[in-house]
Amino acid sequence: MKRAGINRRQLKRTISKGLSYKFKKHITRKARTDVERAKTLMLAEFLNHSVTKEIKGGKNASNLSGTLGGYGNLFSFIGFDSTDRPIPPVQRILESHTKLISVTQVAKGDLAFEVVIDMPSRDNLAKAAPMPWAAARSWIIGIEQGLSGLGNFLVKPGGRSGGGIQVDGVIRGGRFKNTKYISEIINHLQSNLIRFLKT
Amino acid sequence: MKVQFDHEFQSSLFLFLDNEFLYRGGGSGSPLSVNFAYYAETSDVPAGLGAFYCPQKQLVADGVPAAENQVYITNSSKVVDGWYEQCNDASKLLIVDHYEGRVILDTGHYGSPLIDTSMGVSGDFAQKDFNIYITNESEEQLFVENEFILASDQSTYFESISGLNLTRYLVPGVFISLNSSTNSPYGFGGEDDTKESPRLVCVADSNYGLDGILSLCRDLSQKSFPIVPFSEFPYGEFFHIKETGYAYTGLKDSLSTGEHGYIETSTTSKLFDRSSNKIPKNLRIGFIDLEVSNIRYPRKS
Repeated sequence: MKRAGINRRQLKRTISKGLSYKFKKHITRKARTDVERAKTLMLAEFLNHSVTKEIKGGKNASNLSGTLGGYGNLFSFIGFDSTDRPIPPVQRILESHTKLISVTQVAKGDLAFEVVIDMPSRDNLAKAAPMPWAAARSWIIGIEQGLSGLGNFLVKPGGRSGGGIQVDGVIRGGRFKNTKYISEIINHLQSNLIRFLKT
Repeated sequence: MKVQFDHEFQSSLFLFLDNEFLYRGGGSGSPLSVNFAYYAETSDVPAGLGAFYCPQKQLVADGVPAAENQVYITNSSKVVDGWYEQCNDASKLLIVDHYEGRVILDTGHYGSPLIDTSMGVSGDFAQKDFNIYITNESEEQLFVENEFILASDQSTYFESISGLNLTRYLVPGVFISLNSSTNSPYGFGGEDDTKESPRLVCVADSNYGLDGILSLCRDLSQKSFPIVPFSEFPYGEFFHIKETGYAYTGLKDSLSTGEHGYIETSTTSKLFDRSSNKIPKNLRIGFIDLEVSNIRYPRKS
């Protein structure tokens, strides 16, 4: 009597071949939704951040972020021109650089997939947010690492930013207080993406 | 408080930059005759010692043999005219402060211009094209609260003769300040990556000088320098060379297996769009933002 055997490897391959296409389609759809969800949360966090709001408020904003001890505001402190709109270029990078790149099967016959997602890099964001008086320096890095008040000093009263403070002789005692900003937002984006994709 | 890592980091960066500017950048001339002017009122010099300042401020110490740290004293009633080498002996102390560009000597042994009015102190020293300062001042404080003396400006040169003992910066100069730092885990056993972000502010008197120093500093990226323990620091209390002369290359070699700072990035930018008249028009200003990685065990006792 002949014995019938099952070629497990072949069986797995046959099943996975049929399923992988459906799986990939499903995973791609889910990953796309997850990325969009994480992106929406990230943009909301960015736009509602006190630093963003304060800079968006322009020369008349109050120091919502507390980075200047309540004195003046970041827009003038950094030394922006009153016509400058520093937030939209950063927002554009956050929007355009958060996207699903690809979903690929790790190995033939295996139901494992690799999801590649593009995320905004620190360098791209820094380039989109130059200091108005020193192009290679970035104000979003400065918010986290320490910001020079030189921009403030370089602004004439009623001049570039309109709200600048002309310092005469002695700088006031208070210094800029570093605060977590874009790196924290990116970290949240990353953890949200991992959380959403895992569920 | 004991010396901490940040103190050693800053002084190590100072030594490294000084060497880079002097030897890779060719940032000094040949030794020239320098006259030192006496200032009776000098707050940081103990009683019994006199301070003589030169207008050029910082003097080159790196690569100078010990025997060349000497000054020529004339018209003193205490000692005969002649060359006197740096001496750390308390009874006949004579030291060359390379950072402030001054000579500090025991007036009881060598004489004092208060008694011998025509007494003169001079020497042959090379000056730096770019002085280097370590500062705690913020950028705005640096520019608003300080008066710069231009090395090449003859009118300010003579003006400066009257106030050399005051804290004033001679430019062209580079100002080092520590901006921020963080520790992040790097390896097992408590090994961390201490990321320091020093900022250098360059004040030059020409575009040529500024472009040169910015170019030199941009190319520091991916270079490393040894963290010099405080006990190995070549300068003493008054920024005088401790013992037998000092050469950075020798110091670097002796510390080749110790902790190093690794310059990951160096970003340079120029100050532009100056709408204020606060910064003199003849000064050119640039910034260098470094990111230096230090792999170390911060919690190791």
